[in-house]
Amino acid sequence: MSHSEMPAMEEGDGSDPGSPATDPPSSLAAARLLLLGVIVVGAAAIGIASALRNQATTAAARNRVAGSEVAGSAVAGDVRTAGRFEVTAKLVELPGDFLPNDGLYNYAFVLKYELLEVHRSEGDVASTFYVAHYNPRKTRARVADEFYSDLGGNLMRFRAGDVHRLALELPWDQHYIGPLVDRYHDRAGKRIYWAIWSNSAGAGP
Amino acid sequence: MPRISRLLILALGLAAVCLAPQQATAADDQAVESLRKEVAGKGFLVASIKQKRGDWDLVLMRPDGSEQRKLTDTPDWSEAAPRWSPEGRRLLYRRIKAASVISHDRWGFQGELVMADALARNGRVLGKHTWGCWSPDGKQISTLSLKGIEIIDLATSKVTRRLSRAGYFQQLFWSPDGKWFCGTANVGGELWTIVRMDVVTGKWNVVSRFRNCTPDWAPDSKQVIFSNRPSNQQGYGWTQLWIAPGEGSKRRMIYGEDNRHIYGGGLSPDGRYVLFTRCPKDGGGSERAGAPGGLMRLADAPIIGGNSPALRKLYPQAHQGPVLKLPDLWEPHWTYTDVTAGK
Repeated sequence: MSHSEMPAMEEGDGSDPGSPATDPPSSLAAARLLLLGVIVVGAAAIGIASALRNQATTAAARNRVAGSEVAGSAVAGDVRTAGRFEVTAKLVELPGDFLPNDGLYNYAFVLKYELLEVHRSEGDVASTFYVAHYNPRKTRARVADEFYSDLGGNLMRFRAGDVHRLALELPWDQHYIGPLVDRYHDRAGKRIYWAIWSNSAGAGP
Repeated sequence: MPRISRLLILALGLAAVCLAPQQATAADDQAVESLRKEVAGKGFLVASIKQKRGDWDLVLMRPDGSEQRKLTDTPDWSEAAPRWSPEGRRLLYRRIKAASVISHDRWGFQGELVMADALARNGRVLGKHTWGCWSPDGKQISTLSLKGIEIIDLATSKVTRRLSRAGYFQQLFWSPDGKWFCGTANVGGELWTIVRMDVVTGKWNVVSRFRNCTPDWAPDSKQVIFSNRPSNQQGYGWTQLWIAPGEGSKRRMIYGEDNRHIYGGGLSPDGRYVLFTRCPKDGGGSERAGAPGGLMRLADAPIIGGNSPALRKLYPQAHQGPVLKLPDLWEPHWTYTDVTAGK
């Protein structure tokens, strides 16, 4: 602090009860105070507006980043190359609970999908189709094991209404030999695909 | 009644209560000893036994668990699921890297199939040959894989026949008369179902539905022994040993015990005795260090082990034993052939 500032502070400081600040202000002083008030209020308004604008800009930027992440993750990993089929589809429902996956028993679980887009295909894919997912309680990143080492994806869990980008094979039983929970077993003639790679491509409502 | 008489009656009553279990235990011990003497000289068992160093080796023993002798001693490999050929002169088993955890129900997909002499000498690796199993004449093996059921000629290593695997997914075994397969299958949306298939026609029928596995043939090829975890239990439940005719009519429990999961079911070559394992955790123990083995007479079935109050309510006529205890092991197999004879 410079020595020359001290007197100015002392002049304008109203902290001393014996100082002139307690006296009625002159008209010049009142005008100064009014001007100061206008400046302070204006500065505050500008600051608040600026902050709000920055916040909105940051949120928009964050949303753009998030959007690109979703798009990126939907095609991450082997989804573009694994299997003979690659689709984006909506998981229609969860037909009951998954069985425990305690490390002792392993199984595949049939889920029903509504087709949204075909990216790669050898043959038609029906508008409604079925997919056998291996050990569905596990995240796709951890689903591969000694017996099915080529499985994967970034899907964390199966939730009705979510959209998945899937790399698939057909028929399921030429790619998987193990217990199959099929709660749609009474639907004759349906095709069951085998899920190799499962990525998230958007959350449901 | 004089006070001293009442005290005397009370004391006698208490003594009777205290002595009763001891008498029962003594009777049980006698029955077990009788069973031990009955089976001790009836051929040999071979089983996988976990070693302290981490791998599994094949161990030969008498059916009462005596005269144990290692057939393999390979720290880098586990030898698993041995089966003598029908004439008892050769042995099939799987060779799995010692670092691998052996899956109690998928072991047939692990490692490689090895054929050796009856004492596991001069082993020859046959290849992956998943779920390889002897044919009745010992000249072929059946296998189960994604390609289906294949029959392979051992002399030429050629596939002589291929069948659709239908819903089979594990534990395929060829019947001693050569007419049937049994295995664990998906049927009509229900997994872990025991299915019998006609080897010639490929037609199949359900033997037992709902939470079954590890089936094996009775020597008469008419019955299938398997593990089953029935739904009439509280909570997760306990796996029991069951038997059913191949055509899938009335099935019955052979051995059950609350707090134990019963696996590794197999019959003696004459079908009179039953081998099994009693695992405190689900699975046959292959993921850990095996499980205590047990041996009983089929004629004594059903037997309920331990206290098992809930199970005894369901089977009030069940026997308490005798069950001969065997060492901790996995997938035992029995032959009446003297595999130690000759060379």
